[in-house]
Amino acid sequence: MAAGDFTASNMRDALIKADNMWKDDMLKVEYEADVDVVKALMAEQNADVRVISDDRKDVDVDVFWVDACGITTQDCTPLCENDFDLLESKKKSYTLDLCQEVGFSVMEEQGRTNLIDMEEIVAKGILMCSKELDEWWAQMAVAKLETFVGVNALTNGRGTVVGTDTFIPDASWTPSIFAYFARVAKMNKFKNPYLLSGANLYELAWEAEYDRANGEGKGADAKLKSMRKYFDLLNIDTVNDPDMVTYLMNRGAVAMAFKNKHAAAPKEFNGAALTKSRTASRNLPGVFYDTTYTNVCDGDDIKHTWKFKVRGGIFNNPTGCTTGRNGILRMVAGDAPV
Amino acid sequence: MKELLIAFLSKTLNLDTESVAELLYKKSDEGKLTEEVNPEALAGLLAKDAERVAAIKPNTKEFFDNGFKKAQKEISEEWEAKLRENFGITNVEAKGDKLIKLAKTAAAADTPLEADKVKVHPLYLSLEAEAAQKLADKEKEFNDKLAEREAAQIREKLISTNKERGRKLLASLNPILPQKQEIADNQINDFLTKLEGFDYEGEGDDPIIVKDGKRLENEHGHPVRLSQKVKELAGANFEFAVQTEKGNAGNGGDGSAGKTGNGVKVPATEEEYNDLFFSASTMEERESITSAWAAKNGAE
Repeated sequence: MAAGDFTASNMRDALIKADNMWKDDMLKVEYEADVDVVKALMAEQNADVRVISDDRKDVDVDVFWVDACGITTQDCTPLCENDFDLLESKKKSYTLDLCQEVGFSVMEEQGRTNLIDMEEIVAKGILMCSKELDEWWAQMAVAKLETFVGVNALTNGRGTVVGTDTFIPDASWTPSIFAYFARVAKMNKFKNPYLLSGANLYELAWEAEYDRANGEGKGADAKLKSMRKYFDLLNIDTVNDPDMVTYLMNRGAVAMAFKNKHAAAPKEFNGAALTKSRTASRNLPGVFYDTTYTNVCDGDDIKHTWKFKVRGGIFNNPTGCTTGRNGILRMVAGDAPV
Repeated sequence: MKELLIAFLSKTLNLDTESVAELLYKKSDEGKLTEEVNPEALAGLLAKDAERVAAIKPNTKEFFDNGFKKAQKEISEEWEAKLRENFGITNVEAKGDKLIKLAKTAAAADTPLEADKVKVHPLYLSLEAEAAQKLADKEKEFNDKLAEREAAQIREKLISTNKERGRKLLASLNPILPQKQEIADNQINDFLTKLEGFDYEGEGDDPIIVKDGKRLENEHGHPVRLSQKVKELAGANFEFAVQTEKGNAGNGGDGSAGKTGNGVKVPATEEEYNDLFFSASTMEERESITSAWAAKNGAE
């Protein structure tokens, strides 16, 4: 591409401007995505994801899950007989099935005559696209969780199990519900349980935090802290509307994988008249979008266009010790349907 | 009768009888008393009587004066004694005006002043106002000094806190430091003194920089924060090591499961700078790389 193109240097400057906008608390509010559910899943992910770079064309990533379910008991053997299967990570290959893109255009004249320069316009575009893509990914994460939920093995507790849902009456959503959750985790063999919730427990947790200084509040606070909790007030309730849902999950039950086809630094393809690069997500650490830049003659002006694409997948740990127990349970506030 | 008269006159005039007879009767030419009454007898007798009276009557003025003085002295001594007794004056030598002065002094000490009258006296009011003003001035001076001292303490604490933040931020940028620890520490401490010239505003770990009462702003009018200022200053004072891309279990980027960041490299070329910059997954990494690149170009 010739002079007049949006070069690597321009893109760098645009990203630096985007960084500076991100530091401004007032501006950041406009571009910060609600992706708490994704951040929670990332925090609780312990699978090793490797992007495939060999000859295999039909798969994109290898995910190495920790599998402890190959262990079974046997009758006793003599002292010197000590031959057991190796405990190893279970590898499974996946094709990434989630892909979404977003973009924007800027006319050359607009960038030239506007009070703010082209790089600043592009900076804002990058921030906006990052927000849109990341929020889409968050919605996908909740949708995938819904497909992963298993069956609660505890059928005689305060919750009523109906299919993959466990209905817990509204009045039971008190600090003592954590005793039930602990029991559910144990009976479903969740070795390292955590909660990922919509608004269900949010106010309860908020109040417990502030009441902990009181004599009566210490117990409630301790109960709520007995299990790790993550909240996503926007996505979980939106996807599950009208149900108010809390997921009880086992650490490592979910893995997310991303793949980029573009190299990081901008590379021009003069024949195709485009530049390929990568752009880091603002909201999801370690996630990059494949970025494409083009410019074309449009009427009496030059139109510059940027496209950002995220490719990835969200997977459920296949090594659950019991069929149907996927490490994810769906707790719903309210009475079971009659 | 003649003898009786002469005897009486002799007694009363305190003259002998012959002198009396001479006054009464004429004398003959021989100088002998006759029986003829002296026509001047009455005058002579009156004169003699006057003489007699004068001899008896003292100098009344002197007498009066002496008596007055005596009386005055007695009265004075009497009053002086009373004064001494009433006012407790033991000095017996004090008399007259001196004694009066002592009595006045004693009386002034004993006599209680009527408070209400004192309080409306102009001198009292003036002194009272003056004392109140002095007290108010002193109180203001004290409060001003206290406020000044408190503000200085708060500022000192803020600066100390933000210098520590600056130290951590600088460390995160991976500046290339001298091998010798003491020299490295001195270099860092010298750098951190640059942060003492600012004030800091806002809650959180990344406050806004204030200089001369105004917040610093970038070219967009956005406030400059501590992290940005440290990076800006660090870029002008250090060269930087660069960390390679950090790995993430959820992202395979370019085929690796995740590299750990342990590189010590400043981009040698712009191409290398771009590779590192666009591979950085966080704002902080991009800034670190850019600072290193800027420092390298600034040093050349």
